[in-house]
Amino acid sequence: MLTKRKSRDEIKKEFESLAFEYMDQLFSTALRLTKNPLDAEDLLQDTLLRAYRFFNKFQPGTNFKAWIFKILTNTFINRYRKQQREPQQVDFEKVEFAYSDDGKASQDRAHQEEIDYRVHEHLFDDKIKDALDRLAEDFRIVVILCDIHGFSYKEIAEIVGVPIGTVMSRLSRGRKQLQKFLEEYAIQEGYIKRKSN
Amino acid sequence: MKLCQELEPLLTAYVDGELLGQENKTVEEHLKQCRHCQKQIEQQSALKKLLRERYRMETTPAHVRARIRRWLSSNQPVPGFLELLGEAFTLHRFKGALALMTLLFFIGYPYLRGVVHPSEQVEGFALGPDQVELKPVEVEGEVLCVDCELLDKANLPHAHDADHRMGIKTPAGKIWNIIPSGKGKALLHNDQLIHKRLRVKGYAYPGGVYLNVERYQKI
Ligand SMILES: [Zn+2]
Ligand SMILES: [Zn+2]
Repeated sequence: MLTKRKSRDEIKKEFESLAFEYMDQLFSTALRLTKNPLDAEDLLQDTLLRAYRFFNKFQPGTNFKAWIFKILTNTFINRYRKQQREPQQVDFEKVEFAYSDDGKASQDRAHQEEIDYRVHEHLFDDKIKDALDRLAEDFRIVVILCDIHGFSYKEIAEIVGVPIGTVMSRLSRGRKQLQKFLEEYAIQEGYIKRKSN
Repeated sequence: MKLCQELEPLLTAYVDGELLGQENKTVEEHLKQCRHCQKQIEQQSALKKLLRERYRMETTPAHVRARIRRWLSSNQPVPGFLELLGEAFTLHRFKGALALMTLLFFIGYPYLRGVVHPSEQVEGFALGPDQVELKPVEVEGEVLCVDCELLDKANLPHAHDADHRMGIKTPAGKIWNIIPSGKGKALLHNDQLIHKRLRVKGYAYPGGVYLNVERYQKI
């Protein structure tokens, strides 16, 4: 089948409508990744600039959202991550391992089971963002892609460039951390009390 | 409890509806007899629900939207070099696009950014007959009054009848003029900045003598 080559104007219109459709989602994600409004603006613009340059090669009907999120993630990882210094980066694998070796683990579990998980509903929306921002970057990316943007594991694996098994374990640990942070906020704000109190 | 720990990633995938066949069965069998893991599932589902329902998307600032609209309507060309590379690939699916993206990323990244070294990468513009590309650049250098500097160098007397007009002089001696738009305006007539070192991000005009400033910071 012969398809007519699209004119520059048609391509531009198409790109513009898609770009603006996903803009807030992209900007939100950029902000969660960079944690800084100015860098988020830059990241969004770089992403759109690059996406536009490749857009004439993009096949309509395929997964635009996954495609442009991949560009966003790549741009972030290659550019902004290098600039940022994150001294608070912790190896969570080791932390969790250390935890499960003393008696604290079972104590924590008991504590966790006692907490009503619905306490989250009382938390301010900002606290959800704070908690997300506290996650280690690798975890934060997969949690955002899965739980906020609804990507499948397969899509996330392509976007982030890791195997599906890695997506799964990062999500598992990411959600655990997030749960813990949200509980901390809930305790601070007095919605729930620790057992020991 | 050992089993529970091993099952943890699977529980996550179970919550997301990503398990099929045997793995799904394994989890369901285990859940029938393990309250701890049931609780895990409930917690994760609640967390997922929370994020889906309560996470408010940020709104893209109006000035950013406006800038993107302006940029899209300014008819910028795709650089010839990328076009050529792009032609070498037929991109019928996501995967192909990703492969190309990754390849181009490594090859074309410095070119795309226009930042190889933060100084003189501006020669050789690809100018079409009716198109101009503003090339993103990052420039580091000292702020000085362009007029004073040039008149001094030429041993000519300089009596300003207007303000000093700031520009950036790179360590290599290249002088950038500042376009009086947006952030540039703030830089252009600010005597306080004189002799300070700045890192400036913006767009180089063709020929590379004029700089449209997007952001700057003292270094
Ligand atoms: Zn269990
Ligand atoms: Zn002067």
